[in-house]
Amino acid sequence: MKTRWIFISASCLALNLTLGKIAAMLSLPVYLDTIGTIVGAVLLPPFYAVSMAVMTSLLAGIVINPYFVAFSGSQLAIALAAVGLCRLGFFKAWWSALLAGVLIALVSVAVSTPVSVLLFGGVSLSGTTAINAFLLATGQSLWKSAFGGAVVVETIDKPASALLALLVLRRLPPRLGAPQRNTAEGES
Amino acid sequence: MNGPRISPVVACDWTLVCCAGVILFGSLPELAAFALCYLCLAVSGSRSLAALRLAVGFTLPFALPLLAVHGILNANFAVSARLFGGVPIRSAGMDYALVISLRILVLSCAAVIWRFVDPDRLMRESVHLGFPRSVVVMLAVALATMRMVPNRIRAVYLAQQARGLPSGPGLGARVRAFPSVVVPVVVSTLLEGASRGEMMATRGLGSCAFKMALLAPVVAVGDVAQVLLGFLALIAPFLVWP
Repeated sequence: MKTRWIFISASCLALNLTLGKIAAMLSLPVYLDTIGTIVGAVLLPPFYAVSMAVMTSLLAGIVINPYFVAFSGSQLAIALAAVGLCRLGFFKAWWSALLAGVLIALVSVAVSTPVSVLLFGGVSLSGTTAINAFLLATGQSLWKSAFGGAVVVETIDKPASALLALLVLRRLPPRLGAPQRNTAEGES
Repeated sequence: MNGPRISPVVACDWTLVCCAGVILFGSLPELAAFALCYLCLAVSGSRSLAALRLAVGFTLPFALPLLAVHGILNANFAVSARLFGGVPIRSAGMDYALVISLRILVLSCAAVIWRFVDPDRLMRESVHLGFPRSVVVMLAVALATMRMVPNRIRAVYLAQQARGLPSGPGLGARVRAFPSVVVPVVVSTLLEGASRGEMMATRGLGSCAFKMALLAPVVAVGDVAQVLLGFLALIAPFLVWP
């Protein structure tokens, strides 16, 4: 079983990196680098889900852009939140998955805003920079601008990722994954 | 990445030096001196300008927006001059943007250095240092899987187009087409990962502790010299600006 989990974790990690790279290359206003993390949180035991999330940031920092390494804490927080929400049965219906996405977005904003302000001066690779620049030009502080920009982008990105994750989970055979998946979507 | 390989121990040391430098140096001259020393270190380690080119390439997409946002737009900094009679120039904002850009340059350089580390040696020494073997195997498998996913995306996209998927023109059509491309890619990648895992398990992988060639890490004299050079880069700005 351990070997299977390692290979599923590796697939989730590869999906995070590839989708994140495509979003960064196309300068999309979303990140898309957490679909694998959310799917992994449902399919895998917590240790593998969390390891995979942290490794995503570290590997993306080397393979894609050093920018991603700074957000290892965000990936960790997202994985922990997704594992918790999965245990509470949030990935059963589209509306609960959407709500889970919003909650994950709030966690992500809380963890990533300090990094964005202190390390990157409020500038990022996604469309957040334009929102931040607008808010700064209107006289808002850097913290408020970065927070506002992150809220706008994350509340689009994370619910979309959670809904995509739900679509994926509904198409996967029930035998795939860890026991918590049965409690997460037993009736679906 | 081709070229000379940097020891994982040296890369670890230089990453710590980078973090310490970013925390310790707050003023523009100190940070500029540290960034210069660190770039020299990276160039000496990689023995080419590739590390420098990559680090600068990663920094520019941040540096230019930073200068525009804080040097021109950020109303929290006072206007010190006006260009062409109207465009405000905020010198304090420019200084702030330069400090952040130099930090990003140094951090990018630290990340780029890891591209010059021999992956086999990195995996071996990680296991030797007590890193969980399952995570090391996961990393190795992920790197192999990553190369296959873009081909799968291309194949699924072409297949969906052949089925009449509306993929443009216009942003709306592309956004609507997105799940019908991403979902099959994610599902097929996960199923393939699971079946590969089962296949490897039947061949014995994971039936006992993962075994790797545990050769003792070789610490060369050159590695020790590079570790010391890293510390020199950290104290050099103090020597220039005591």
